[in-house]
Amino acid sequence: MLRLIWKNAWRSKRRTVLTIASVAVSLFLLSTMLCYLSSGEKQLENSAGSLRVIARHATSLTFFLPEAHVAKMATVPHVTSVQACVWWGGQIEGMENQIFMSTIASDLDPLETMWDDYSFGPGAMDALRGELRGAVIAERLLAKLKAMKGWDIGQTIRLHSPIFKHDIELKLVGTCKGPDESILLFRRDYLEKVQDNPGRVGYCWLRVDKAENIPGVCRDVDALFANSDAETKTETEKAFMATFMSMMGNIKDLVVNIGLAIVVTILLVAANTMAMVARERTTEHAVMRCLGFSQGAIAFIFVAESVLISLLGAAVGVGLAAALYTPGRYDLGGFAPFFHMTPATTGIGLGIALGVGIVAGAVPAVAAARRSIVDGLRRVD
Amino acid sequence: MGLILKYNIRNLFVRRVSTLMTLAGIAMVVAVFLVLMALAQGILSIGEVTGDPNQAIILQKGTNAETSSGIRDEAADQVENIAAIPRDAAGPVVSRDLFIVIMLTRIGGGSPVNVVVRGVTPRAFDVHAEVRVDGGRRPKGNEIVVGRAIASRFEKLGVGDKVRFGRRDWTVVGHFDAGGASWESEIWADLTELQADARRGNSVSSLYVRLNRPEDLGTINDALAAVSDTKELKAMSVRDYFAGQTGTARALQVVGGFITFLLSLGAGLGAMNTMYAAIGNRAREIGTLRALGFGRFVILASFLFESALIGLAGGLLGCLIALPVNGLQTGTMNWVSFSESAFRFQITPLMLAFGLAIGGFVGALGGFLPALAAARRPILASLRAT
Repeated sequence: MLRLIWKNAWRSKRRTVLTIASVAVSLFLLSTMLCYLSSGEKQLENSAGSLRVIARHATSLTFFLPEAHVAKMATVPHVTSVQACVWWGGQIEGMENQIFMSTIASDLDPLETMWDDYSFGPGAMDALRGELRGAVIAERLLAKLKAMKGWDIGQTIRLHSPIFKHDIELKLVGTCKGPDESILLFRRDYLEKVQDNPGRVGYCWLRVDKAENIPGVCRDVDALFANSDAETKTETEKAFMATFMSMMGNIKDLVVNIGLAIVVTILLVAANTMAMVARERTTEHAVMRCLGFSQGAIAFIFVAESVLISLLGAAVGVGLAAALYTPGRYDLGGFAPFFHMTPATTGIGLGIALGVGIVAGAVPAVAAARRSIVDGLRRVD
Repeated sequence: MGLILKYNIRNLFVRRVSTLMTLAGIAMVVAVFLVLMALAQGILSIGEVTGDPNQAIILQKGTNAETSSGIRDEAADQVENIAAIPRDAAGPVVSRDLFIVIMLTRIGGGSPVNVVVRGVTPRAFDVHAEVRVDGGRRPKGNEIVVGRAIASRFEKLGVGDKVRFGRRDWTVVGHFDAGGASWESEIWADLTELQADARRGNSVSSLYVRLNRPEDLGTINDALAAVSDTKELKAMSVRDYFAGQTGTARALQVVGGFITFLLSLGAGLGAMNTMYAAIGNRAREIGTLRALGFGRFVILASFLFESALIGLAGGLLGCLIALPVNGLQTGTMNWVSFSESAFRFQITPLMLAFGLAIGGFVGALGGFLPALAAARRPILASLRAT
């Protein structure tokens, strides 16, 4: 029976190849969109188990906190370390929209304990301690800048910012590797020297000793600064990430809806092919019934052929996506750091192909099986 | 020729199931294309509508955004002395604005997002003449007016509602319309109250001025550079300022192009299948037509026409599917101010024409090889076919 299904599928080579190609192209596109969605999920998931919480100005991130807050936060029970940061928003002259960099001025000491999910290159932290203008750069970002500008470790770079008035000059002293692959870290004490009004902090990362103390710490920190000049809002890393994602708008809904449109298109192409096949084989099905094949058997053979064709299309389309979207190859300019195929995205792609194959084959299959033998035999085309 | 075209059209109805399925596949492609482009167009139109060529914005040098700009009181006073700035009975037409970003929760919950609050003087309503507050009430004391585009998207922004940000509760006393301009995504409060609440002293973020003619911009910049209080400031046209904030739209157009291209390919291959089958079934008819004296070229053209017609009908259906999103309100993040920028999906006649063209093109693409095969087949072989 399998041989029959295989042979049937290739009776009209051109039609089968065209259908496979069409399904493959569409599933490749669908896989691309699934990679985007799964990257967002992964970003949230990565931050879920974190022991870090972030404290920022209660009104919004664009307001600064006074530096005096930092020492006070460190006194809150269960807080093991506090890292004051400033989001500097660095941009390279002439490449403003081409490359995304998380340019952050940070306190030095809590860096390694706070970001234990990052690994710093050998000697990177020591070099940073020894150089006021030093900066540590993510390996990925460095590789990009190397390709675009020829920059490497040891280079002094000049950046400007839409948020701050004065340009900064940084010397790249080492690399790091972690979830944010577009990070450029430099010393906050250097920024303090350069800017006009020092003593302002953008936000603080706090490390909590145990996961169960996180809600308490968030509450205590906010209570500490309630009714002060700069009230704070403290939340988990995951909640903070979610805020950023929801600000981009309903991108997720849009992607999901486009994905659905793609599935419908594949379904239409596949169903059309199978309807054509069924029409051609009307007489043949009647003959098979005469030979003793049951209605069920005929429907099964037919659906199996449809599933086979769409799975072959999926193998090509999803396979191409898996070959192309390998981890670390694309990150859509820093927006989707985990843009690659995962077992889950591959599974969804193949699952959709299976579903499309069944649905596309089912309607003509039932019609073909139900047609009375006499009717089928009588038809001449 | 009329006869053969009628023949093609009738054939579309003969095999209606497969015609319909091909048509629907192409409709999907066109609909996806239109929705993405309508999104991009909506974002672009904020820049276009807001960009009154007779308005200029004055910011601190070295920044490209109101978020990070700061202008002292004395400098603002100096700007009002510039001769090129028009005056009316109340003095120079200059709006002093304080730009602040707060966090609010969207209706339906979720994480709070950034929203712009602008502290304004009554002058703002002279400079931005397009802003019309319902009932004409302008904010005083703890009062705010809310842009129409965000009023319906966020909690507690209905008229009469109280919303908390900064150090106090603010009462919404009106909604305002600005003809689709960027201001519709903002909350406006009284400048002095907001300065006090945000502890910003007397400083502002930006100055908006009306120009007598767009060319006065150069004169204003010269005047700014001539005085020590204002030489740290620069003037730019509001059109240029907002045009720089539509990067998301360009990204959307690129992504939309990529998706449309691949999806067209998928639907085009499907259409090719349909046309090969149609031609295969009609081999004898094609032979007869040739025997009657219709040339190869006519056969090629007629089948191309038949499949382009499916494509055009698909394009039309796609336009109809996509049209309801026109005018739908949505929002995205403005990457310069990092805050909510509400806008409407916008479908333009040009986009519809493009959609139809894509449909026709995909159809013709799918029909070309099969039509060529039909035209090339020798008459005898066609007639002999069963």
